[in-house]
Parts: sequence; C-alpha cells; structure tokens
Amino acid sequence: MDALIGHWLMRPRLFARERLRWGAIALCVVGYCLVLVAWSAPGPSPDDAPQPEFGIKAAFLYKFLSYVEWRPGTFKEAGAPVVIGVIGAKDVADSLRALTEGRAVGDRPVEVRELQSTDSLNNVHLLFVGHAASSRIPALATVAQQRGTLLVTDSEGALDDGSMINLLVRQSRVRFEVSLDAAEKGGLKLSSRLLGIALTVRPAH
Amino acid sequence: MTRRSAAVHALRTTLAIVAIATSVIAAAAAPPPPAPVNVASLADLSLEQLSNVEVTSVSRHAESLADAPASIYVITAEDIRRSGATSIPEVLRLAPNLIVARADANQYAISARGFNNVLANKLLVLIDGRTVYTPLFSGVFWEAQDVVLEDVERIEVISGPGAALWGANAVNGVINVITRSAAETRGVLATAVGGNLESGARARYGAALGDNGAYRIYAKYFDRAASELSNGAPLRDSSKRAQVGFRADWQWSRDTLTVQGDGYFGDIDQVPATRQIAGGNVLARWSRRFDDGTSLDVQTYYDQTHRDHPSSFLENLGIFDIEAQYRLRPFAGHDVLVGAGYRYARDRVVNSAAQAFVPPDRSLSWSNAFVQDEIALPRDLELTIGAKVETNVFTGAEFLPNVRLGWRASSNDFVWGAVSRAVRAPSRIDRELDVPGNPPFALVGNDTFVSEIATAYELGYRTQPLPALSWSITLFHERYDRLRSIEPRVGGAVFANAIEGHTTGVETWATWRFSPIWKVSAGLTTMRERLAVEPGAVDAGGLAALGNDPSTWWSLRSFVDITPQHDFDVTIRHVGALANPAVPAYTAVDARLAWRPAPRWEIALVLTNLFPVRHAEWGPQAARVEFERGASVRVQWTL
Repeated sequence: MDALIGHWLMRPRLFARERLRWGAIALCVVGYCLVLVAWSAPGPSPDDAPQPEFGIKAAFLYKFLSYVEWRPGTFKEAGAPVVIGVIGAKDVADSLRALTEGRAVGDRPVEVRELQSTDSLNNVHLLFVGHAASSRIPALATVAQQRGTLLVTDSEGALDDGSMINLLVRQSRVRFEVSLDAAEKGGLKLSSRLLGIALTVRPAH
Repeated sequence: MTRRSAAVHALRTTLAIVAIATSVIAAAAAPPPPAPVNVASLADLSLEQLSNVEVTSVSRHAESLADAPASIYVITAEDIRRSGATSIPEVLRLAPNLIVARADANQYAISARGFNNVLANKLLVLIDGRTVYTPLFSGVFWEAQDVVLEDVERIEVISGPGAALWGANAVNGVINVITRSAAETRGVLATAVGGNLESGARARYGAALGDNGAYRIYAKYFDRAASELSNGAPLRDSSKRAQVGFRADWQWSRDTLTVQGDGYFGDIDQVPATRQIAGGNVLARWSRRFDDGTSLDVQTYYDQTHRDHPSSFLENLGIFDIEAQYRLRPFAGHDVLVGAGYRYARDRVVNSAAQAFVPPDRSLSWSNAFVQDEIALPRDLELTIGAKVETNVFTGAEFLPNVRLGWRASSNDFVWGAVSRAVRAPSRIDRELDVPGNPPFALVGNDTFVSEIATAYELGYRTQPLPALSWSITLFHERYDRLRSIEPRVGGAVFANAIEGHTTGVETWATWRFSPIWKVSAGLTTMRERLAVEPGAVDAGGLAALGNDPSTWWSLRSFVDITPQHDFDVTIRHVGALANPAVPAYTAVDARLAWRPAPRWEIALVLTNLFPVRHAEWGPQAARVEFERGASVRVQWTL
C-alpha cells in the first residue's frame, strides 16, 4: 500500500476532470452504502455457497444410504446402525461424522468408521475408498461384492476396477457414475432416482 | 547473458525462493488440529441439489457457473482430452468466445471481442493464479506458456471486462488455466506424441506427501517442425522446448496450501539467428476457511523470464506478486469479497540498432485494492457491485467498477446484465519504445500516452430446457475511448490516444447430448467493429495496428463414444475473412479417433486440417504461413 500512498503524496494537484471522476466514485460509494442498508435486513441467505470437496462427498455418501436396498438379512435387528467405512480419506470421514451426528436413515442411526485396508468389512454397509487408497480398489471390490457392501470411490476410471459408484468432479461440481453391473454382483439394488441423477450408468451384463 | 547462464540464474533464484517459501510456510502454516467443518447442513440437500453445489475453487471467482452474471465458457478436462490439442493456444480454440489465429508454428494472435493481434493487449491470462502477460506490451508471449494438458482441471474463459476483480488489462476477457490439485494426479502418466508437425513426450508422477498432502512432478519436451509459406517456401520457425515442474498440495480441515513451480527453456528458429527463451516461477497459495463461514486466501509468486531475440532485443524480467482476499458475510444476503495486491517488476532490456526501450533498465510496480458485494435480493435477483482501484507507474490510479444483475427466472433459466468500465494501462511499448534504436527515429517514446478505456454493456441468457441441452447467449456493446493511435511528428511518430469507437456483437453456444453416446456442441460469435480517428487528430497506421478481426467465426463439434473403449470426435470450425492485411475466410476439419485397448492405455489418432489441405490464418500474403494437414499418433499410459 506504500506505493499507493506515495503516489498521492507526489501528486501536486487534481485536475478538474479527475475531480469529476473521484466525485463519481464518491457517488458510487454512497449509492452502494444505501443499497447495503436497504437490503441488509431480511434478504435470503444463499445456501449454495461453495463447499470444500470432501464435505460434498461426505454428504453424497450419507444421501446414498437412502437409495440403496441391501440383501435381505443384512441387518440382523431393527434399529441396528447402518455403518459407513472410510479408507484413505480422513477429511471425508471427519465431515461424515459431523454431518451424520444425530441423523438416522429410517430408524437406523449412522455409524462412521475409519478403516485400514486390512480391516474386516463385516457389518460395513457402505465402503468409501478415497483416491489416496485407489490402488486397493480392485482387491476391495472383490470383497465388497462377496459381502454385499456398497463400494463408493472417487478415482478416475474406478468403475473399471469394480467400484459401484464413483464420485467425480465435473465443472466444479461433485457428480457420480454408477456401475449397475458391479452393484448387482454384490446383490444391491439402486433406486431409479439415484440412477436418474448419475452422470452415466454402466448397465448390467 | 547466454541462455545457459540465464537458466542457471533462474534456477538459483528459484531454489532460493523455494527455500525461503518453504521455511516461511513451515513457520506460518503448521498443520492445525483437524476440526470438522460445518457441513451438517449439506445433509439436508437433495441429491439433485448436491450435484449443483460448487466445489470451493482456489480461483478468485468461486461462483457457481450457472449463476455467474458474465459470459463464461468453461473448457473441461474432458474437452481438452478429446480435442487432441497439444498446446494451450490450440486448446483455446475450443472456447467459442475467443478468436484464435495461428501466425506461425509458435506464435498466435488470441483475443476476445476483437482487437486481435500477435501483440494483442486486452486479454488477461492466468495459469494457476499467476498472471502471464508481459509488461513489455500488456500481452502474452504464447510460445513461453505451457502446462501438462492432462493435468488441467478446467480453463475458464470469460469474455468481456473482468477488471473489477482482475485489474487493468482484463479489458476484453480473462483466461484462467486451472490445473488439478496434486491429490487428484497421483500415479504415473506418460504420453508420447509422434506426428508430421510435432513430436514430443511428457511424463508426470504423483504421490502422497505425509497424511494430508500430495505432490506431483513432471517433465515435458516437444519438437515442432517448420511451417511453409503460401508459395511453398519453408519458413524458419521450427522449435524445441523443454519444461519441468512440480506442484504440492496440502489439505487440512480448514486450510489448504499449494506450492508449485515450473522451469523451461526453448529454442525457436528464426532469421537471423535462433530466438531463445527461458524462465522459471514458483508460487505459494494458502487458504483458510474459518468456522464463521469467512475465508482468507493469500497468494504470492516470483516469475523470472529471459528472452533473446537476436538483432532485436534481449530481456530479463523478474516479477514478484502478492495478493490477499477475504470473503465474508457481514449481513444476511451479502457475500462480500475484499482484497488487495502488490506487484513489482524489474525489466532489464539490452537494446539493438533496430529498436530500443528507454530506459533499458526499468522498475515497475502496481498496487490494487478491490471490494465486491453479491447481494441477494428478493425474487431470486442477485446484484453484484464491485470495484477495483489499481495504480501503475505510468498513469497513477485507475478506477475499475462494475455492476452486475442476475435473475434466476426458473431453475433452468438465468438472465443477467452488466455494465463495467475497464482500462488498458500503458505498457513499456506504449511509452518507452524507440524505432530504430538511434536517431533519426521513425517512432519515438512518448510519456503522454495514457490508458485506453472501455465501457461495456452486456446482456446474457443461459438456459437448460432439457437435462441434456444447454444454451447460452450474450449480447455486448463496448464503447472505447483513447485507443492507441500513431501521431506523425517531426523527430519521429509517437503513440497517442486518438482513436475511439465501439464494438457490438453476439456470442452464443450450445451443447446437446442427443444420446448417452453422442454429444454435439456448437458456438458462434459475430461482431461489428466501428473504430475511427477522433475528429481533428491524425493517425498514421494506428487504426490498422489495433487488430485484424473476422466479423464471424463458428465451430461445430461432435463427440461419439462408439463403445466404452472407442471415441470418435470431429470438429468443423470456420473463421471469417480478415480485412487488413487481407486473409481469406477458412473452414477447417479436425478429427480424432481414440482406442483404449486396456484400462491403462489410450491410443489416439489425431488429424488436423483434414479438409482443406492448406489454409492461412494470419498475416500479409507474401509472408504468411499456410498450415498443412497434420497427423499424429498419441500413446498414453497411466498407472
């Protein structure tokens, strides 16, 4: 800012034309203040402010729970929690915990577990494998299919590796692609509403 | 200075800055304890709404594109991949609101809304937040700018003034090249391209860096063949260029930190002797999101460039830039962005008998402060008021205000209008250039040249009548004053500000996904320029030097996913005739066929100028290049 101030000190006088210009600026500022006062009271608060990517991904994971039907007998008892396992995405796991606190899917509370890739997937209903662990996707995909776990990833090309839902950033928005083939192999049913919003749906063979 | 010593100097400077930056960053930004961000409200959004929440962008304009009250075209990573292009200027042909003319194998004239020239000076270009225009003439040496195109996330092309946020020089447009975060480029990427016009290779490796970070390093090289003149004679414009660079990103719950840098050198053949370029830059950017919803961004960089045009000039330019911006919501319905920046350049030129910059050694500085408020009004109206004050060493303070109004008429329709004022502040060429280098002068420096002024009126409409169809149209009228003229005087002509006029035009584009496997996009810009010398003034060639623009240009692109493993893409583009010097209109057809034989492999055949076999894009007939049919094979492997 020194340069700005120094510049004004060095300027001996303002020409009439410039006075006019700065007058116009002052007018703009006053006008702006008036608008500020006039509209600051009840205006709608936009809820669509940009969000960090991991927060949006966490929200997607939570929403997916409502659009998937697991194999019969997956939940042993009424009110048992639905469990989201997260591998290789600490920020997503942290956001998920904050986001799901006090929330339920139907009558089931949501439980978030951070897992290592060697941990058992027993009783994990949705597994998110972040791109930090993308090399583990093929192996985890095999296990997820056997156990009927919904596998969600966020790595380019992960559907080729057996992922069921793959989150992608397209034009600054988080979108997703679906492999019905992989989901059906895991005995999972995805609602048509979910498929309608997907960027692409890879059909079942 | 030889290229070698310049490269060593650039390297040394870069290393010193990396060391300083690293220690400062380590001290200032020790990872804070992770705290959950307040994202709970996201859980209340529907899947559809979630799909429309914009990811926080590190760019200044973190606005959702669908609601941006400006003429913005976004070139996506997918568009870049399917274009088959190997350079930034060729990728920019994808933006319907830009006019791109290739002058020879390495030089381009690129502009928006007219005033196109290889020395075009009304467009601001940023690569990851780093301004790449030269203070020599306020334009871009395109041959010196390169990135690994596979690592580009998107390119935002804004036509029309962006001065209220971006400052002087964002007169007719802003181009924002944004590369992916290092977290998104882990693994190996190797691409080899072989063809009759260009061959090269690039490789990138990325991996995790601790628990919260990731990095990538890359190297690339290309060798471009010489072009031919229209009479078939070869032109000496072949080139070789090598570049290396890195980017590291850390993300904690509230903070993100990016440190990146690049270094390059290139040899470009020309008469009488090879033109040499070299340079390097290093940039650090830190963002913090506070719990109350406000956020702070600080960015700083140093950019060193070296350029040797034998028998013309040699330049060593160092630029230091720092800027900060703070986003807050002081009242319900107000989204306020305030910021300030400072930029310093040390430009050292070695003059020749042909031309001289006086003084040869020059310090330049710019300071700016800006404020913008987005005000949510009733009835889904959004008013944006913003202004920037920027100072420069030539004309002092410049005031750059704009007012924009957006109306979301329905969930699928958006109408916007804007009035803005922008200036093109003088550069060294406008005030300090003598031609030839010694008297008697044909052109002599003139310290009374002042800023060119533009006032733009814009009206736009964007709609998505079907989920698979989107369409955008912008009408613009821009009024120009004090444009650069050439005033004959005893002792040598000078640059003066005696041209005025206006441009009026339409920019429109649409994308339609006919079926899951077939997408078509089209774009058209048509405009009229009415520029004239002010009554009573004399102009000796300034009018023609302002630009040489077609009145209409359009493109039509088809993207077909023949199978999940095969793409077939065709582009037809047309550029209308240029008047002075006369260049005939041309229509060119490009095609790309890609095949992914295995998950990690892609092989693509790219054909350019398929029909007609030759066309020219720029320059007087005797000296202009005609581009021939190009064929190249690209093999890409990722791991």
